[in-house]
Amino acid sequence: MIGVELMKMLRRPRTWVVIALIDALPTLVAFLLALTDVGPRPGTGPAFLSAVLNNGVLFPAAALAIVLPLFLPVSVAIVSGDSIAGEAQAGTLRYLLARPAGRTRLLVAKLVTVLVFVAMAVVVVVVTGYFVGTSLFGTGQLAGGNIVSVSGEPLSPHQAALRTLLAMAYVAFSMLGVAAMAVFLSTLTDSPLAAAMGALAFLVASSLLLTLDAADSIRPYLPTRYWLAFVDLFRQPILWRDIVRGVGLQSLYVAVLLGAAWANFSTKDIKS
Amino acid sequence: MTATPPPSGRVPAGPVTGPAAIRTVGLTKRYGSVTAVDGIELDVPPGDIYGFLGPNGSGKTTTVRMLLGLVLPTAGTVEVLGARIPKHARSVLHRVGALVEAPAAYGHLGARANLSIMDAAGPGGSRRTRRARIDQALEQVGLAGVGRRPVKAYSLGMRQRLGIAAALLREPDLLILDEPTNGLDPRGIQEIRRLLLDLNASAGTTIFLSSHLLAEVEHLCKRVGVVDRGRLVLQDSLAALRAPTGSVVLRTPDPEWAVGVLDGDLRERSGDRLVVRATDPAELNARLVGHGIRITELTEQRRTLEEVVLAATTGSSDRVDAAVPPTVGPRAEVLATDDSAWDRPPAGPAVPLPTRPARDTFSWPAGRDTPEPGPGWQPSRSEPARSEPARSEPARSEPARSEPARSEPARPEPVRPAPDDRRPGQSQPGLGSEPSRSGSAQPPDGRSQPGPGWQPSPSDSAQPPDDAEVDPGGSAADRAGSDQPEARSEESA
Repeated sequence: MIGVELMKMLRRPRTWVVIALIDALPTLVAFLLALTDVGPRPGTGPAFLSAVLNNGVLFPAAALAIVLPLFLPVSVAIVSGDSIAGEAQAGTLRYLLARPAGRTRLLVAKLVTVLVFVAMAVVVVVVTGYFVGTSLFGTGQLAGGNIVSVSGEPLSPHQAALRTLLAMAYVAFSMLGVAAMAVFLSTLTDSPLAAAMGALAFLVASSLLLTLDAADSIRPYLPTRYWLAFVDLFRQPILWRDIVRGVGLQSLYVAVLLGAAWANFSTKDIKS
Repeated sequence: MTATPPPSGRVPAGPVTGPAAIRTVGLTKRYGSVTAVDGIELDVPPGDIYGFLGPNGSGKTTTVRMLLGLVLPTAGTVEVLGARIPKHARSVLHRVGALVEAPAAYGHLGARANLSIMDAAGPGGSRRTRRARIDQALEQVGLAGVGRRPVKAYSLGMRQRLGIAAALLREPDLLILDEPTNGLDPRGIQEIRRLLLDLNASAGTTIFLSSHLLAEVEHLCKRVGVVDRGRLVLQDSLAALRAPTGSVVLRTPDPEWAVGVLDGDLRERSGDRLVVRATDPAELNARLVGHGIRITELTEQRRTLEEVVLAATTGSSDRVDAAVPPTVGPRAEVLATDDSAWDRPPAGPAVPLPTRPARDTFSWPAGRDTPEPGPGWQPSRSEPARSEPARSEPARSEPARSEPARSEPARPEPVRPAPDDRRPGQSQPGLGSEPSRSGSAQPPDGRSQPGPGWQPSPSDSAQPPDDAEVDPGGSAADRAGSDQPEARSEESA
């Protein structure tokens, strides 16, 4: 079942279009930076961008920071929102369940598919980020190959690679909250668009509340609160506090929302 | 019927030797205050071809979905091939091929990729034999040469064929088909009918056919169940339902003489067409010819399935005096009682409206149009209502709803319209069921105008055995339009 769902996703042209679009934005940013040589001043703009001009090795992390706030969540919401509602809209859900695929199995297969999609998107962004970054900005020969961490200490290329991998994992994990929300909504409605938009509304609300002082007391529980904590992975030493909290918070959202999705879907009357 | 359910779970393979293909006990589905399916007791023996009939919104599709575990019953039990649904769906549903409402496929993939995905999505479809099974199923439905074209480029008829192919993929023991010939032209309908009969004869495949196309059911099915407003009002063999009515329909160029000869046996006359009370057509023929009356046509009158279904789904009663035409008063009353009114006989005050208190609390399933007891419905409805034996009426008021209804329809009571120029056996497509489907779109006198849903028996349904072979497709051909030529050319491409 999981294999079937993965094949379905990989054979859909949409999957690849979305990934290409996600990838296009950081690439465009890299070219603009390289052409103009005008980086944002340190402390402004997306994370790492100011450092990238000196060392392209940091560009994968910068690319992640560029796609993280909007592009990645939108694509994850679209793919996850489509999971059940898309089948319902196409009418194939009733045939899958009468096959019988099994409701829990189908839901699990859909979740795994979403996970794979998120991983693919992140990997593609990082890999292109690395090639684009190193070819456009060099590898920082001045510092002997070392890159400068966010906290000013040098990082060896080995450390930088390891931390980029950790950052990929963290960013992918951060997307699971959105994915779980979209999958849950996808079991509620027969419209994939509604599910995706609902999940995005959830994110926009969270981002908005983060900027509101009056929402201070609930800020630690907002799903997007710790998203950018992956920057802490590039400190020397790594600042784990927010990352651990972020993982914990996302786990909570994922558990609750997927539980709700399962409870709803396994007892739902399929009328599509 | 009332046997204890066999142990659920895995059952021995082979439909003919196994338990009932489908058995439901007290199957009920409520959506809030709406009861979509109300205590349906289906009993489909293995190897049967069962026609499941009823107006739209009567609960057919909900029942089919409960059989497949898609909709979970509020009360009652479902057994398919001896296993409880939905609990043991996984152990048995892979032996069931289904077409629910409309076919569905992934538009960007071709036929083979679609079938392959569906086959891989559940148990019972061996990967080793998949390719061969897909080829065979496509061959069976006439899509063998369809190639890799994406399904989104398919015509309606091709999609329908693909849906049937998906149902046939694992050589199922039971086929649950909802409108399987939808969108097919007459040739396609005949192909599919032949295929289904073939599967039933050669592999013993049980076929559960849910359809509006009465002609389709009439040609295919051995047994029928009629559902009306969520209740099974009739379940019997087609042969029993279509027993002779005790009348003979004849045509003669000498109608005046014939009337004189027949005297009191004449039941109805319209032009040169006479309906005569007679149990032996041969004897009647001899008698008329003996008087020198020429006969151009002479047929034993049988109730058409359509008449049976219309009678069962309207709640008509034979307790109303046939001589009393519908009066304005009661009709106005009927109109005033909104949706629950339309299956009450629009006759005089003798109609026992209070016999069905449950009707008042009943509301239509969501999405069903409020029936319109308009003029297109009233005049012609009233005749069968007055002369028909009560079929669904007692069935409704008793707990075991299907039982009384089952035994009754075999009674050879003909439909007896008033002696105007209407033809008695003339089917009245759309009258019984149409209000729920197209409402006021029906012309005032709908008898000559088959509605889109209830397909009449082709041509004059007063002699269904005769025309059974004539027009296999009925008016479904008109609906299919030019679909098939397109499909054909594409197949051969």
